[in-house]
Amino acid sequence: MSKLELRHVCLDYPVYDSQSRSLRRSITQRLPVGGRIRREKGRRTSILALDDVSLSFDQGDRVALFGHNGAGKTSLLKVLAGFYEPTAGSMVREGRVSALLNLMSGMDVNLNGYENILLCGMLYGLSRKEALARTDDIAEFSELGDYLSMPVRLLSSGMILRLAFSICTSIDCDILLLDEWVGAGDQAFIEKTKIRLSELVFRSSILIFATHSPLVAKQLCNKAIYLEHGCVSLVGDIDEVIDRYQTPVA
Amino acid sequence: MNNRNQLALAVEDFKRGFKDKGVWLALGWNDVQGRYNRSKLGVFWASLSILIFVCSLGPIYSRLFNVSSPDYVLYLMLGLIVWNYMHGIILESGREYVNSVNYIVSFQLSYFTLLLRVVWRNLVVLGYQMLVFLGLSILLGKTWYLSWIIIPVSLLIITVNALWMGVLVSVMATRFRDLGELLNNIFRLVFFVTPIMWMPEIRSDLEIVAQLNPFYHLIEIYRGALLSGSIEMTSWIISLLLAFAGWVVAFPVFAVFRSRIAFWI
Repeated sequence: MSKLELRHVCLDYPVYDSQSRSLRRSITQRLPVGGRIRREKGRRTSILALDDVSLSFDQGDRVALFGHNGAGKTSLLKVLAGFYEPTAGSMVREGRVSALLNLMSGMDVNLNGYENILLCGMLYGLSRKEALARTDDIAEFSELGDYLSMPVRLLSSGMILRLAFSICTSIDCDILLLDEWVGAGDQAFIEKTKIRLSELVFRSSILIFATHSPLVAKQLCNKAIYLEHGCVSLVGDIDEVIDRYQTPVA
Repeated sequence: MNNRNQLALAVEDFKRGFKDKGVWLALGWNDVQGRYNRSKLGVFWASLSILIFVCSLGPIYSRLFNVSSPDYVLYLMLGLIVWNYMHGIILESGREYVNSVNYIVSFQLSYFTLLLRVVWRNLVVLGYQMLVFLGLSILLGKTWYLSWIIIPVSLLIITVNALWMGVLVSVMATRFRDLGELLNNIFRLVFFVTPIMWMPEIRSDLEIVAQLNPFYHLIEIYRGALLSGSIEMTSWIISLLLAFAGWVVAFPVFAVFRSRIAFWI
């Protein structure tokens, strides 16, 4: 049974290298981007990326995460992934979490495709055996053929993206965290990725998907959250949230 | 968050490190391979470079210290190998989290997994360098001792010691970026103060300098057993006590600051 629950979670990034005079409180308070910048006397400057966020997700929830740039979408994903521990509040997490925030991380460009499949598979928590067992499937989906025995650094960026996509979508998990993706590869491959991605999404029991595109979100999600300056300003049914905050479709 | 919780999370971090054996074995191995990528000799360069260094310096310095060349060459070589191993673990730990930020955020790797990767890649290099030692000791007709069987234990104690220093440095140097550079300089000095290139037996006052240096004892439990077949109890006891005392300090520091490391990367 998968479950995700946040209780009054705050995430306060300390800023170690900003010069305090270069940022003026009066200006930063009204910016249309970012979280609140806190600058109190006798304290270190910090950015409040998540401000008292309480959320609860259960089996079958596919949640789109909307919000302006710097609203805290990725920060929220990083907290859910366990990268940052909340600076206040608490989190309950049950189930295997897979965070696909950056497609390319884990790739070693000096290794060849097969070695990368093995390495990334293990990084995603597979045993060596399991990773080896999936190699054929991953290789086939990527359609890279003989290029898989070349060092990855010789592949074009589109080809590397294909490989990375094929690897990370072959991993099963209970809770899937996705940061905004652009389709990988050329037109034909993008069609394949859509199918593969939705298969992955429907295999997992909870999806949290940060995006700017209401269209993609409607295909994958049934719920939505709107974040504003690190606060949850609306939670609800996907159509309801999109109606309230209709942004120009890109 | 209370203290008990922090300790439990730190223990969990360590457990995950041991559990993710496949990950750090693969990453560490790739690090070593990547460093010598596309060179014909590959990792054997690590062996070769120490051989070149020791064989060119050995004959000169042995005359300086008035000892036999073959003995000095082996002495210098073992000292260097162990020193490089400890030095590598301690200083590379300081950069590991920053270099591996992608792994931590995307794969939820525990911090300890990354430190074990550092240990493993240094251990691989040590292994390749020990091949040279074996080759040379056969070539120079060195006597083999029964005490060689204790070497894995020596190595374990050295590793446990280097690792607590690595844990401490990894936390502090990630927060205070100047610390890594500072340690680089300090360790260069410590190298010369430690009996690696010189022998403490040559003067009684130097003997004291050596005995006061914990790195001397750590090197000696390895080098002494291989070179003279002696098991120096003082060095063993000091090394064990150092490991114990070190972890008593390093582990709580790690536990307290562990959750903050992500913000410092």
